[in-house]
Amino acid sequence: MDLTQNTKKYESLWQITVRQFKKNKLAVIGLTIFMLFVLIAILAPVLAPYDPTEIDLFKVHQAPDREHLLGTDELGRDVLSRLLYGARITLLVGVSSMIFSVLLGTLVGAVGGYYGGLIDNVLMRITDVALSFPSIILLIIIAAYFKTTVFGMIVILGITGWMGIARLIRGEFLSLKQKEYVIASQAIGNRDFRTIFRHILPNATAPLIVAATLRVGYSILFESALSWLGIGIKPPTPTWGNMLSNAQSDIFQAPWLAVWPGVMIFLTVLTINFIGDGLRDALDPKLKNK
Amino acid sequence: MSKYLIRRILQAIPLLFGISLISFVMMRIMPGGPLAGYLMNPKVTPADVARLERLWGLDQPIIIQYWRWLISMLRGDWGWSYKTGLPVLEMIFNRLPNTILLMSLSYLISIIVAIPIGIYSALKRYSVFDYIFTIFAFIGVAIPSFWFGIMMLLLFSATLQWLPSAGMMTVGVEFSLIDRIKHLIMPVLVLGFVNMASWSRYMRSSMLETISQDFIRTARAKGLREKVVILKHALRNALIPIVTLLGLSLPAIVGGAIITERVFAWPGIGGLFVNSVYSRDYPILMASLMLTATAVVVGNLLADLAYGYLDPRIKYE
Repeated sequence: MDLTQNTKKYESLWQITVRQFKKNKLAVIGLTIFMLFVLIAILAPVLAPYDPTEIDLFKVHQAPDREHLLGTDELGRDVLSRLLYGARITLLVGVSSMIFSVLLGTLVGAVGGYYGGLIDNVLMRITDVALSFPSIILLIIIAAYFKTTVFGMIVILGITGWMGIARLIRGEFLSLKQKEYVIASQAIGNRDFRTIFRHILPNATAPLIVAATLRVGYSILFESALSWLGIGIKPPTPTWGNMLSNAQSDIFQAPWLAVWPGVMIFLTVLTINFIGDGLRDALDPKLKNK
Repeated sequence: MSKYLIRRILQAIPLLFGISLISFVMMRIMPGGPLAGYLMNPKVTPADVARLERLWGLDQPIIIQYWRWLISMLRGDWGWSYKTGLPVLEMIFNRLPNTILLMSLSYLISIIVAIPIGIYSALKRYSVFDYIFTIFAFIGVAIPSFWFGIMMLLLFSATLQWLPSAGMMTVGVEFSLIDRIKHLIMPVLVLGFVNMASWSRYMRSSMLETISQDFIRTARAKGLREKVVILKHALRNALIPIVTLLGLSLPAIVGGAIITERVFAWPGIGGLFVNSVYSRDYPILMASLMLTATAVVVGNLLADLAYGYLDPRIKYE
């Protein structure tokens, strides 16, 4: 018998996570479709048959045909091209605002949870106030006041989406800061900054990754709702939300306008939720047994 | 119990106070006041604008404006709309019943649909039925509600012409219950869809947790019929977390109502709110914000009280 075969191979945490993730079929399908959407967004200039902002008033509201596979909108712009370019804006806004929310939420939650006392109290009361408004109300008020560019939208969604993450991180910190390794880190004289970000935070990443993934989906939903209301990102920049804002009034002349942008939003959010679900199972085996 | 209630109400006061101060200041420091529209109008002289500014008190420092607003609001005078000149209270209460009708019906339907689905999914775990409703839940959470509304319009109004596309009654027709119900079907379904989906999932996992507990085995061992075990012993315990969820879902439903009212041109508070944001109609905005915040605080409180009622082990002191 070959002894080398007996040397058991140990898996790294990353390998375990990947293996667990692969077991969840929906999550794998979700990730595949999502990566496809990312590819579409990157390759939009190559794939799009027309310039997404090119106006052709002789070809307004054309039904889908061979020339315009998904028809044209109220200004004669090619819907398919706008849809492809819209993927760029939607994904960019979704992911960037998630990063913004995660940074802000982590900072608030970590500081509150680590220091406790008055700081924690003040931060949590601010979080409570921010949570007392339905997010869409906060978003409408803030978005209506600013000239919303893509960057502005990212900031607005970022500063209205951090509260849940702050609560989550605070909760993690409250229990983790009692652990021996934290006390050890403090005892050897590490600065708080190092203790918080090098020793505690890495242990809170599992729930954070799941929350952050789901956050991308929420951001995309909110961005599309705001752009649909006409106070988000404005045309001619195409987003899936603002492509729908005239679709309702034109529903009798051009019903095809209403369908595809919505399908894209729906599929994107759905796949993100599948991925989030898969990550939850993969990162936290305890939850799965429940 | 009453002590607890009083303490909770006393705690809510500073919260609402903080919310009102923050929203008031936030609104005023942002660019483009309610007078911006008049400045564009060549028929309005700068003197007129200055007179309006004085009349509405907008020339005062923010903190004095806030103090005046607070004092008169506490006296029950919520001011006049800048845009229509009507009393704010009148405008709000003309539309509030419509929103409450829409929201409460959608709450009710969501509960009626979600709870049985959740129970059945839990009892028949991993059955075809369970899988179908798992997919249904994923769809409900991921679908943009405004688009779902537009798709319903496309199907039921534009194509099949079964249901009216907007408003709460057919123009020029006398009030009839059937007509009202026809106008309600789509908005109520669109508003409730997310809740049906997510609540049924929560109900399912709560039920699963409950039926795996010892007292359920005891009940079965006593020889009780399965129906009694499930509906009397398990359900009541499984409902506890759901009731809290119902209270906490209130902000999302208020937010959803804004979108839904917009899609179906439902004459409620949501439309009033969006329009007053566009025109910077501060008095209306403040009133609708305070109403929302109060509803959220009350919703949380009711959820806690219901929690105590359903679970006698929890005592509030």
